[in-house]
Amino acid sequence: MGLTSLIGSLYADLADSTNLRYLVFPNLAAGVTLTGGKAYAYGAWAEIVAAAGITADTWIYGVELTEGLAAGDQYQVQVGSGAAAAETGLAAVPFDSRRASGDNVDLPLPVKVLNATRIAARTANAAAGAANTIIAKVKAIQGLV
Amino acid sequence: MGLMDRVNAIVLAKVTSDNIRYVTQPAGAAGTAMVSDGAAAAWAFAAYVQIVAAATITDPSWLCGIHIDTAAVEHHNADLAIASGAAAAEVDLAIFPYRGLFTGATAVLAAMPVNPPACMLPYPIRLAGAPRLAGRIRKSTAASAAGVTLKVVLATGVGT
Repeated sequence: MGLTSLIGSLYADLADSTNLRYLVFPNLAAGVTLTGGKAYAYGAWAEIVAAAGITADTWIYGVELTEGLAAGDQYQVQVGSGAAAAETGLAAVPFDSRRASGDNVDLPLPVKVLNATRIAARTANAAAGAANTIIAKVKAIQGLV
Repeated sequence: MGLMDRVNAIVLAKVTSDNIRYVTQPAGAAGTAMVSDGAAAAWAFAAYVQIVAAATITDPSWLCGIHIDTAAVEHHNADLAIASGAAAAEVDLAIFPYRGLFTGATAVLAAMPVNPPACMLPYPIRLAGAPRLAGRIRKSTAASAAGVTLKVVLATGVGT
């Protein structure tokens, strides 16, 4: 890609962005419950969206997290991509849930996931005695470049 | 680095960024107790507390933000400075204001309506050479050992 094309891409994405679309996954469905592995060990990956659900190159720019446990806990949530049992961790974010609360953690630089790539997530939770849960949705952009 | 390389790096960072990864520090563990030293006056910075030792983080990394958990000792309003550099030679990189809510009393915990969110920087700060990271606080209350528990969010692979 030449210099003109590179600058054109930046201009289109950052200043003239009629093609940008912002999405959430799972789409039109409840968030995915992630179960921690206790004591800051990661639990199992859970699918956020199947590969077939990603129909264009997609940029992950954040997660929305909601408490799955009434008493709250502290979490390290990681979003990844790839087939089941072959996920690559892309973004780990800290989160502290409390009293049925939730919030967004946005990334300053979106992470690109190629078209037709499955997105998954997993979490670790702080409590040593309980594998606590957090509910996750992934926020994404399509139409960059 | 020539103009072409610089523009290419910007495009890679902002758009075609499939090498970017985000990690937390401390990783897979509770946050660092970012507490005052018990001697600093109100709104005077206390001593630095190490977050990660030198040669721990990936070189280069980018400081993207922080996450604060609940406070220790007492409620306080404060500023938190994240710094890099060896002990006694730290350089403050970013100062974040925060409100630390002490959860020692059940009634206080019940009154807390939301969780403390992560605070992300719009412009990540490049950390070259895997430096030691430390932090310090200056708070609204008189000398005490109050503080919060902290995690930092770092990125790697920016511009590649």
